[in-house]
Amino acid sequence: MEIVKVDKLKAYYILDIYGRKQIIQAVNGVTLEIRENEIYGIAGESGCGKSTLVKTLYGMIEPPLTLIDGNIFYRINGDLVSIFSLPNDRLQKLKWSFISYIPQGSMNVLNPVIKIIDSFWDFIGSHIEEKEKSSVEKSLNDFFNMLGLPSKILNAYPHQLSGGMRQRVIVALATFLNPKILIADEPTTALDVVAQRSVLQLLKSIQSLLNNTIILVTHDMGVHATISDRIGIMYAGNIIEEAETEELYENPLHPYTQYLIKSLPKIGDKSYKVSAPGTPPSLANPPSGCKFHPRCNYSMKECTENVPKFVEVKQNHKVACFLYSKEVDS
Amino acid sequence: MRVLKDLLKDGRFKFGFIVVCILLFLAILSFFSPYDPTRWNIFPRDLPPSTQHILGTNSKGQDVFWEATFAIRNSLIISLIAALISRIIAIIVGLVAGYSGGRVDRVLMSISDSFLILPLLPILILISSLIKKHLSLVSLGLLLSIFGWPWDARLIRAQVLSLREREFTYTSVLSGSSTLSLVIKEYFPYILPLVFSTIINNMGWSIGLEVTLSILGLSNLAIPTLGTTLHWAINYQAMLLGIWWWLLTPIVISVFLFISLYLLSVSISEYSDPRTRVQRIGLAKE
Amino acid sequence: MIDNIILRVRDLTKIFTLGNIFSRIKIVAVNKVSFDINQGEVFTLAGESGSGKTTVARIILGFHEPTSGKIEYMGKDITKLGKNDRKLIRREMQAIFQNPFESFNPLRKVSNYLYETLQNFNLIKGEMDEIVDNALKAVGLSLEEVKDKYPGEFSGGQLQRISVARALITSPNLLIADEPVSMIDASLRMSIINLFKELKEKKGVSIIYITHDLATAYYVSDRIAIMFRGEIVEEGSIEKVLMDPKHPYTMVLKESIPEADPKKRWAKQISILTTEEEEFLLKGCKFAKRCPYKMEKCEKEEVPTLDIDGRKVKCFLYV
Repeated sequence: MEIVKVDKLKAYYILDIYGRKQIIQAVNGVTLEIRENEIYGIAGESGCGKSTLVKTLYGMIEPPLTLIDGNIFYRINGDLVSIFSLPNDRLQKLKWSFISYIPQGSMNVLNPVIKIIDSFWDFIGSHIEEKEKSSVEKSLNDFFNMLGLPSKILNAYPHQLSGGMRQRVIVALATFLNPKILIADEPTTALDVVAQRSVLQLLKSIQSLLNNTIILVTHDMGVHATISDRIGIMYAGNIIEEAETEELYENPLHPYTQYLIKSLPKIGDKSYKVSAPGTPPSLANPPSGCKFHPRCNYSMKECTENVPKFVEVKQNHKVACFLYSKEVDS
Repeated sequence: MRVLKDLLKDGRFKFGFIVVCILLFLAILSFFSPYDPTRWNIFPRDLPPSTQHILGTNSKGQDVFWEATFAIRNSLIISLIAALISRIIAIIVGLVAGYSGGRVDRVLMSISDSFLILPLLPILILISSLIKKHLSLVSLGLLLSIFGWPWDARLIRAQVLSLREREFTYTSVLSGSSTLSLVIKEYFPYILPLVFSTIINNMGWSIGLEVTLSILGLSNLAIPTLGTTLHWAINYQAMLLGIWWWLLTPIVISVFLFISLYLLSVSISEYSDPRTRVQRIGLAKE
Repeated sequence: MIDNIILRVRDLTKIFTLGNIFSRIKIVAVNKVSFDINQGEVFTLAGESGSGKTTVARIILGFHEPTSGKIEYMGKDITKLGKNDRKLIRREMQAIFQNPFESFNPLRKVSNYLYETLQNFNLIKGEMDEIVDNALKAVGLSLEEVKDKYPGEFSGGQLQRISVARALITSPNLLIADEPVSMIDASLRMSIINLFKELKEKKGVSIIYITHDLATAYYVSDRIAIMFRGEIVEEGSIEKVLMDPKHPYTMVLKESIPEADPKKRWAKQISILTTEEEEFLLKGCKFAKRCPYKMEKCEKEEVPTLDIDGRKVKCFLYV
């Protein structure tokens, strides 16, 4: 059952800097279904629009980001509700209790001059009644212990903890109210491998304990292989391939996906590796037709003229590429 | 001048720029004044505004309008001298303290802080009451500049301190740059906007101080400035006697001057902030 | 084969004192670190953040002064150098850093750095434009693409390549690359790593590659030293250390790399219950609190460095 549904979403940044206008097509017609009880990974290079996509999923559409077209639905109490039809205070109430968002670089969001537990009250205080505060503190301690975090860090200051530990604290705080959806945007990018492993393990154990949905955004295909159940590959504002993890790694269909997977080095393998040629396209001035065609080895004439439609070509395996389906996107 | 064009799109800058241009025009007009500003009793006293005297005459028998042109010119000169000289001191102190660190930094900042905590007004009152007869425009400007640099020196030092830790400092060192050329080429683009906006702030500050001193009678009252005009007007009981044109002229001009200087400072510092400049870099080509 | 040692680091130590008059702690960021670099080899200094690897690099480059220890470049002691001597050494020892967007001043044109390096080191033999163009072509770019542009107009990968081009203008013998690809998308890292491979194979440049990612280290290096909280815990050839790790920490590092293969997921969970500061202040082995093979003496006695199986290991397991 889907818990988040995105329908032909278009969201652009409209900038006006001293009279010069610029339109950045960050999310350019995305249709997605994210299910309950899964870890859905969104992969893609920096600048492909994935952070903007998850911001819109969280409902953070503020200028200069503008909604151009499309819709986003949450399944609340069994029904699909469009988030744009909800009044503002209802949407605010959903945040942290139904859907939680951990932005990029969030290990730095903790207020450096107060203890972790005080930051926690800042974030969550509005969701908890005054009289319940002492019992909540106890359950917070238990929650941390359950996740393998030493509860003494609740009384520490942020600078006393390493980046990895802070990130894990943020993940714990974001899931304490048991939201049904957790969005994590590049949660491990600034961390070294060991810290990264601890954060990813934490995410996986939270998912199996609470049976919620995690939307994990990262450019690292190694990370996706390790914890994602299904993966959507994003390129220049569109999702171009989507499949279950094992299927995606065994049979990557889109040429871009193939590059993403083959470019990762492995211990024990000294064979020559290549990364994707060229550079990601500018979202302000994207190429015509299929946006990957300037970097694609297999590009044909129609690739420069039309945009391929995102269709299911094998069971549970969708791709947008003229190599597999000649359908054109309207 | 693309910079000017861009800035003029900002409403605040437009307003400030127009007002300052008008005031500059009036200041320049003073060079063509048919009357000597230091002479008294050229005209009948206390005449209200008329076609002959646009802003009337004052109790000293002078034309208020032409006096005002001199007042604007002199106030601007004092504040420009004060602002420019104190900038130079602030830049040197801030750069040296920020980049050298260690003992040099501590000594310079102690000196700077000592100047900061000095009670400015009592000291100025003391000094100017001693030498007020000899105070010229230039010497008043210099006096104010001695007290105008410490705040901004610390500001510049703070900027240099943060720049020193950024990776491009290391890249520049590895490229073989000497300390001096590093500071000039790498840091100046960040410091100049600070300097610019603080010049304007400083000008406002100096004019304010000059007006304060003059109203208290502690400046060379023969030179017409915004402050001395106010002093004379108050001294001659202009408000009581209803000679509002004499009193209001320096007040209205000062208010407009302060507001426009503030608006210029705010819009220029926003425009030249490195963060907005970075945004504009890519756009210039498209 | 005669090893041509160009850099010799002996017992390098750096102690940072934190705190104020009332409570001071001494953090030994680098503890008696010793290693050699041979001509034409890629040597990896690996470890997580807080291991001291960047501090070692900064000391070698002359940005920090060591508390004790010696560094010899081509037989000459470079730990305490005057300004002019340091500049001469910089000609032979260059570096590139982690954050490509911070490596250049966002308000200056990127090509300025290339021209300046030429001028400051008196290397202008012929047309400056041509020299700069050749330097850029060697990294897969060109002067045409780069001139008159600011850092914000390039991608991270391109900027790192320009950094490498700038570092190579002086034809250095030794290039120190501090986490050069950690901030670049995983799928684009190989283009930079392949550059390093080319530099070593075609130009004989020695490279100190600092990273926490053992997979890229395996791909490009000859030898490796693993650092943990300021100490080298294992050192040897890349094949030996990574295919058959002996120190428990090396094993953890190797296992923690997420592989692009869904069938190989992590079997065990790791738990990190100590903070960085606590680990630095431990007596004996700093890894003891996390080590699955911990013995009593690990937390009390100083750990010896042993020669096992063609490599150095600092662990009581092999005594």
